[in-house]
Amino acid sequence: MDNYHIASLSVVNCPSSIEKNMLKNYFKIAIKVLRRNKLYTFISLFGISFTLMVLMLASAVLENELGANPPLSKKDRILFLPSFSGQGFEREKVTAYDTTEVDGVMKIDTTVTTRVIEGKVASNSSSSLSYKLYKDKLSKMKTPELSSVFVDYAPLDVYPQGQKLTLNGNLTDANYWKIFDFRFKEGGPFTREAIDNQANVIILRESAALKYFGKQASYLGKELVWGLKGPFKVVGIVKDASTSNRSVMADFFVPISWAGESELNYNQEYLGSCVVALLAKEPSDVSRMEEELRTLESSLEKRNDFDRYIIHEKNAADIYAWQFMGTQATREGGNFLKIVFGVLAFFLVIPILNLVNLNVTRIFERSSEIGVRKAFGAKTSNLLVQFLFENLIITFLGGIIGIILTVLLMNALNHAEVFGTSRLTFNFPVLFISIFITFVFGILSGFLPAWRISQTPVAGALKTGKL
Amino acid sequence: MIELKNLSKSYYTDVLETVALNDISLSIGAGEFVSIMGPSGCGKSTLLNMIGLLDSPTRGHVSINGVNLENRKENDLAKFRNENLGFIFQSFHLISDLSVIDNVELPLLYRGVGAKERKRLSEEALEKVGLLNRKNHYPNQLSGGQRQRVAIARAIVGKPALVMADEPTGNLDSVLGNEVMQLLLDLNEQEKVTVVMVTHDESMARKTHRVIRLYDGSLVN
Repeated sequence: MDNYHIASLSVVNCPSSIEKNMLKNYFKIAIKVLRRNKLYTFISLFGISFTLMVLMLASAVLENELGANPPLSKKDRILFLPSFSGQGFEREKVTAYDTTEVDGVMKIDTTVTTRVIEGKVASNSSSSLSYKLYKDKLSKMKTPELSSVFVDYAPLDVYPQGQKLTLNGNLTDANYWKIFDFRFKEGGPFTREAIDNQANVIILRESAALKYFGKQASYLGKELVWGLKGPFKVVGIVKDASTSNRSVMADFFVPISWAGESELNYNQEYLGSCVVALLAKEPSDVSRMEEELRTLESSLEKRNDFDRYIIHEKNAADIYAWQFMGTQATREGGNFLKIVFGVLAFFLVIPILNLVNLNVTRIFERSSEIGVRKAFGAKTSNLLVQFLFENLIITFLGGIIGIILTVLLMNALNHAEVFGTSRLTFNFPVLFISIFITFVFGILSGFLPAWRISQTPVAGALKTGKL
Repeated sequence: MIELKNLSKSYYTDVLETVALNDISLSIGAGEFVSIMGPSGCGKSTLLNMIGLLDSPTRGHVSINGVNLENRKENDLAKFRNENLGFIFQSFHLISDLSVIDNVELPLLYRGVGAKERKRLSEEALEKVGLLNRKNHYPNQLSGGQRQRVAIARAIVGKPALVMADEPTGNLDSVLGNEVMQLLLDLNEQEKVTVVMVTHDESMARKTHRVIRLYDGSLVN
């Protein structure tokens, strides 16, 4: 006779082994359920994969634009100074009256003075910064580890094979290449000597080189003709970047010494067409750079009836947000991200609710299975894990389809240059974010149905549903 | 082994109280094979659910093997059921997406028994009910009688001290029903497992040690 009591079962495994055994069982069930109801599976997978594709694409755009990717790997340490304002405050005339005796006759003495109404802006002049401001003041700042001055996004019409091609270029100094870590496919950055000597050297973006020269084994040493300035020798080819930040998103790069004086410095001392980038030693030092900027702008000598000067600094997120909201004086990167994540979360909520609804209906068809499992010893947590696991399996299947769709869509968008010349890439961080979104989607859409079914009274569950 | 004291169960709606069980007190000894009989709706299955800890009484006490099971948490009851009770249902309640052997090993899975031991015990249980050769089939590939035998294998695989059977022959013809009944009798006689069976079939009930009769939720002497 067998001993019909518990002690006869001698092999009891550790909890991790129990979970492994159960997960295998849940996996079998999940695959069977998916195969059993093909319409439900198709509807679920379609909804999940399409939703995840949109979220992944949005995440990829954000990551590509705002992630720490070359040439903006040091973005957390960089402050851009894209603009400068000179402000004149309102003035009012104050007339003071007094009486005075002149030759024994009382006369009224009138004194008129001009009073500046502090903070009430009457005039405002804004532009990019002058090269002089950089050279005299900003380059001498103490807190940055490095600083760079450059002219961004200068358009240039060139005529390869007689066809007009408009390229946008940055005119840069030598530090530019130390702050922004471009990936060189060929060659390297131009030297300080090349800048000082106004050498005819040029660095091209990979796609710009392809457009200008056509497909070549190597572009080094080839010459691009810049109108009357003559031929420029290619000394470097940088890989296309995935950001639209104009400070780094150029088709070509030449020494800043090629910028004309009228371009570098306008008549008003501090205004010009230069952008400055400051690199802090550590991300935590950025606020110290900002403090030094406040000190520096208040110390600037007042000219041309300006009462206040403001150097507008922005980080990479502020620069990106500026395209959509805010002004040169505001920093909207944080708010922009909040809005974007809010919209994405809202976009996530609707399909989650749909999937919850679908799952609730679907799961309750299996209530007698729940009853059987409970009768034979399944705890609430076992059932919760089982149905969450099943939901995660279908969500991850949807996630894999979503990733494939995202990559295909990215290629199509890149090919059509929907995001201009910036290139969307499905890099490792985007993959990580995609897996995270898929996991969150799976948990959120599966938890409520799983929780509800796990709470079903066992006797009632056995009376209803089919197996 | 089983002690029920003043057990009552009522179901409530906003305006109505339906009494399913009314002040039931009884005891069932270890190794007994007891059948519960009565007309439809008299509370047989409700009583079985109370004994099997699948439902909780409105009033009264249930104790099994001297363990008072009043006010226990659901997870504690699940553990107790897993370790001490086996269930056989009229409509088999096999999980159609799992193979025969996967169905049988379900109680062992929740007990944390390792894969090899689960396989060994499940095969042993299937051999007892004569279905080892069908272990990789799915429930929808089996006849009604075979399904119920699989359900019996699942009920006994964990070697429980008590098996609850709710009309185990109700969906079977007389030949298959007798086969299933013989399995339960063998289980009781050879393995000394206590069996509590709800049945409508007087001939099946007569084969058991004792018949408990219910009428309108009360015991009939």
